Amino acid sequence: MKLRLLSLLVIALFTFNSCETIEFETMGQLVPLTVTEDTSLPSININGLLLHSETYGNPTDPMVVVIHGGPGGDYRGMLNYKQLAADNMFVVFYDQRGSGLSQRIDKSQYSAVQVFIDELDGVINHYRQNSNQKVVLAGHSWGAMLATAYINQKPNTISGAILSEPGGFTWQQTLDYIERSRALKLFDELTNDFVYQDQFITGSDHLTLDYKMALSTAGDVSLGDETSAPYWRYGSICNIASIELAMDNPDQMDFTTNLSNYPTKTLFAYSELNTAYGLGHAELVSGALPNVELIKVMDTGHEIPHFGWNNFYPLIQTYLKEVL
Amino acid sequence: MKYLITIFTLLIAGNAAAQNINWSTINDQQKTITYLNFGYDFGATTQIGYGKQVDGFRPMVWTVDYSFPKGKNLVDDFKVRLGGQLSIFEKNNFTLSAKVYGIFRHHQTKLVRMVNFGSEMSAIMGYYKPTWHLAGEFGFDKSIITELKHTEEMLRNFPSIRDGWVIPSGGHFYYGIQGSKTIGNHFELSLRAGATNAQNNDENALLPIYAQLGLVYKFPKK
Repeated sequence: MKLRLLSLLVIALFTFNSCETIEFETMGQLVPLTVTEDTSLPSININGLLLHSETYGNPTDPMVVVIHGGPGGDYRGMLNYKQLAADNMFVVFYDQRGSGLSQRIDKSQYSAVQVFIDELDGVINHYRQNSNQKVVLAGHSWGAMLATAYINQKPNTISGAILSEPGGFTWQQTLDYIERSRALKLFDELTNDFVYQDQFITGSDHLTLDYKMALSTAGDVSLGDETSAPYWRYGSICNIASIELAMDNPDQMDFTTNLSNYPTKTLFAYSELNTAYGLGHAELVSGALPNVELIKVMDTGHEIPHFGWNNFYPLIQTYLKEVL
Repeated sequence: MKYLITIFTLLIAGNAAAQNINWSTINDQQKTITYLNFGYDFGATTQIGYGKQVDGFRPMVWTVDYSFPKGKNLVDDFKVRLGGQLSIFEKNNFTLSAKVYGIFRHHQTKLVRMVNFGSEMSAIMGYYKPTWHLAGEFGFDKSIITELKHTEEMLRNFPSIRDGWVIPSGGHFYYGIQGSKTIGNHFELSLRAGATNAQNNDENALLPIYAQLGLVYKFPKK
């Protein structure tokens, strides 16, 4: 009798809630389709990988290549940059390997930081009309670190750089910043939201891990921001593999070795509300650049290109007029 | 009112981090226990519970407990567990016991609401004395089925995301040590600690550990 009652209770629970079942293996149910599954998405083939990419503006105008954060994030939260197309700039967006709506790849394809630098070089060469077309890099967070890594290797090819809160230009700087900004506060609602979900869903496949990483943003909001910036898909494998790569090869994360040969002014932005960053860290990190303009963007946390755009944009316009 | 309190207790009691039972101290005079635990179990958690020894062919304790992680909202995330612990074999103060539990979990963030049914099974082998015990445990916490209901904020990022049930949704093995020490006639201090390991080479939890410090009160027989 008791067993029958229990069975009825379980049936009732299923009946009153949605009965639809979800298969993690089925594409597009819990995470969006990438360029591999949805061929209608704009894409380019760079170094054998299909990358989600789109452009705004006249292709012959000076090029601004927008480089998103993460690793594993995407450029959706940086789409405000497309406004520069109205200022006669050719704005290029791309999702890095394994990130956003770009093709998913295995861990083995993150063998060195150099693969990200070569990929950026491939994107620039793909869109660049001729060698006289000026190129400006606009990077955020990890994207600003990648932009600096590129400049460190090819200082003569870049006409300007807009960097917003790069974690660091050395691995130690980055670790120090991560420690301040991502410290687990065990008695905090957000921290517990971040770790509590682990007992509900486990997996090792791309789709499960991407979905879990998206959910983790509920408890992993950048300091100073109330929510996360919009995104399509967090590339969890990209994130995990890149962090492991950096931990195992800290020497590859030193982007300062040749910066002294980059005389062009860099626009270096930090936010008013990200208390883990601040003027102190901005001065420390930007100190490796010979010519830098430090700016504090008001009313935003770490996600400056999204939440701080209205204050950031006029400063970018002034900067671009100066360097181009 | 008493009835409501009882129902509430039954509904909210339970946690995958099971209560330590010192089989040597459970006796005819103290068949009922209640406990309060603090620790880390997929979050910094507090657990309250109630247990009762029942007569059977082997010593058995039914327990029901409830745990919730810290945070400003104490009712959006919780875990309820209902089940029993059975002493299987005893010799020279050594006891082998088993636990079987049904689990109900709830998790709400600004992106998703998760409702989950699961189970837990474990084996405990240890040395039990009237005033203390030390044991090793090995178990499996299975997340059998989870309902996902996404919020407006999640839909803004991915408008066509699906709501529904995920089967099967995951699981963790756990292994560690546990112990207890009797304090006075009615109290016991208990400790559990160990590691978790996700099933099938799945990615491990961010913090793949558990730890629990608790106090047990054994009711005197009326």
